[in-house]
Amino acid sequence: MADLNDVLDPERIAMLRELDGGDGTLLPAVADEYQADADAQLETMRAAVGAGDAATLQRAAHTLKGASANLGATAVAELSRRLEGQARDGDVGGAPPLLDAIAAELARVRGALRDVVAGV
Amino acid sequence: MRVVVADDDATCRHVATAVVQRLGHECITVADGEQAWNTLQDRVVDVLITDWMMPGLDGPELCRRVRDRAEAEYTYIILVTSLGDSENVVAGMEAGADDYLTKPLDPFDVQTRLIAAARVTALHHQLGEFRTQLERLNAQLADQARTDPLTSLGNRLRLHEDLAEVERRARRSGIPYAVAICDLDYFKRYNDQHGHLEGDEALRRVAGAIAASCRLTDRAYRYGGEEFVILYEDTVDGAAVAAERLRRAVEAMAIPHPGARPPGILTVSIGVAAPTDPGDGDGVLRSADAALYRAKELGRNRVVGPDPSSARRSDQSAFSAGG
Repeated sequence: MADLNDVLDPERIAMLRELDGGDGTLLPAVADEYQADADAQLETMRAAVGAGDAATLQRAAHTLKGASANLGATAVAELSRRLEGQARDGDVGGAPPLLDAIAAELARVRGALRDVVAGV
Repeated sequence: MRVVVADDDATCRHVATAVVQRLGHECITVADGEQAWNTLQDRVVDVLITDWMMPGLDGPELCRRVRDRAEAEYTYIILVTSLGDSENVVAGMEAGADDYLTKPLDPFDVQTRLIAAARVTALHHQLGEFRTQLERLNAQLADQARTDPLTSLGNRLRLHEDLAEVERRARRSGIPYAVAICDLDYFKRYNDQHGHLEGDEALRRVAGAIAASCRLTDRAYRYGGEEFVILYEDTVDGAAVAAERLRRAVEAMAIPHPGARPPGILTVSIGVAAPTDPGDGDGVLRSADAALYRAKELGRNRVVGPDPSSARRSDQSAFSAGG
């Protein structure tokens, strides 16, 4: 569990578990939505970096930031916040290392979510 | 309460909906500002929880639109900002938001905000009811201030307002108008002989006859003690015919008045005039008054028109004597 707590904020996960009133449907649904959405945003951000499109990069980073915070994926939220800040300043060149870090962190989130939903 | 949650992110929407419903409120979720705006136009929404940054219509613009509309019902707006966007909060509040929340949404924060929202929307609702009540009372008072309490006819204030309106229409569209002043004959004597209560009753009966004689476009007013004014949207000839009908109607009531010479019943004298200049409403009242004095001079119980030569058997000046 130490590993999981590192990736997903346990308080946030506990809150989401408590929120659906015990029928256990909210957390898996939100986890599914999050993973599909995060993949899409990551793809959008990579394309934006390729096209030098700071505005699209900023918007996608903003969305990923909100969704990640919502699920307690604190590290992804923080990386996205930095990426969004760079893009707001028009900096697209500095994005690739952050994107790689986000992709790596998302892989950990994915594993942690699987455990959480499975009730490990 | 009915709560609308607007967020372009599905997971945020999902969690916000769960929080709002958990607190026992109706929740409508929408994915962007345009959908939120459409929902707000379709139905009464108590609280709008809207994301700051959305594609298309964003949070602050949505706030401005909601505040600009002339709805009686108040929508409480909670703006949701993300981590690191706190500088947006002031701009959002200035755009019309009542409060703000920061992502990720916390159920406890949402709960406390919705308690405040319920209180504020209830106050606005009450305020709206007070305003409706006040408007109704004001309208009632405005009507009372223009109504003569004894006869229920319009009073002098209403006459002057209506006359101004008729003048405007005459100037603009050439719609003719004429005025009659109707005065009870020997009314001071009637009061002296019968007392003021009986006098009031006679005034009420004559006012009733005047009201009954009015056509759709005629309007009647109590001008002073025993003087009435009738405003006709008609030529002076048409007005004179209507006035003569009224004179006969009062005569036909045959209210006994031993002090009247002849014929022992209560009668009225009427002066009729039309404006020489359509914009001169005061002038037409003066002309009608002058015609009324001639009617009195000529023996009362008659209708006299504006031109001295049209007064029957009159060879006196229009302004020479009173009745």
